[in-house]
Amino acid sequence: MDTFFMLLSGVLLIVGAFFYLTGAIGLVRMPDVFTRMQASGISDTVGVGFLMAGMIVAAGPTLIAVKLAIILAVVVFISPVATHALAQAAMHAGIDPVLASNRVLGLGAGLKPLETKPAHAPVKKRANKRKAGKAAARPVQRASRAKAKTRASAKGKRS
Amino acid sequence: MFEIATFAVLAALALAVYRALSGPTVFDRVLAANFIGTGAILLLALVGFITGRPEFLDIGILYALLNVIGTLAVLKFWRYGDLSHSGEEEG
Repeated sequence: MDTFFMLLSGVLLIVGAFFYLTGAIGLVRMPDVFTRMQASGISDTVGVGFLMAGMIVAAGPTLIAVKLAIILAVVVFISPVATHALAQAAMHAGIDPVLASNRVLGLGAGLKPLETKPAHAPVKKRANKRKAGKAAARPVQRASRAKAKTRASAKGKRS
Repeated sequence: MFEIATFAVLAALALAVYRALSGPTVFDRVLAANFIGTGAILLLALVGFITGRPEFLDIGILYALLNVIGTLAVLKFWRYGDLSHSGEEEG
């Protein structure tokens, strides 16, 4: 029975380590702040959950297991709060999520550096639309899209 | 098994440090800092199991509580430039 628990804790620890490393790789590889938050959510839920479960099984019914369960509960309840505040702050600062419709040429299009606009940017945008109509906001988008298209065609010619 | 998990957590922390140093916006850095805080808790628990000293778990609980406070404080400071701001919109 003792070897069974050791084996179970080993399997749980290895599964948790795998998921934790997966989330960290996503943290580096993802193209956007919001997708990076989603990747680190894997580590904060599945990775930490499996690792803590493995350590609880290894500790047995002692005070150590209770402390580990407290840490697990705190991380599970508080990490989404921090991520939610981070996403709200990023949206409020005017960072646009990289959507599929914004990607002009597939994989590399979303990888350009995102600039941090000043705070209260969405409110100002709405005010501009009311005052100046549709003419204020759209030419910028068209110009950037045209640039992206020229970039795409240049890349295509090179390859 | 604890050693394998410890090395995986260390590798994950190295990747998070890379993201914290090269993040294009401040939110990437805050996210990486949050990730590093969680990783520090796990590392404390795992090293405590390896060395047979489970007293590290109390420090882990403390780190878990401080992690979210630090994240929220940095976000509030970034948005208002002042930690004692009431949080109301100024129009």
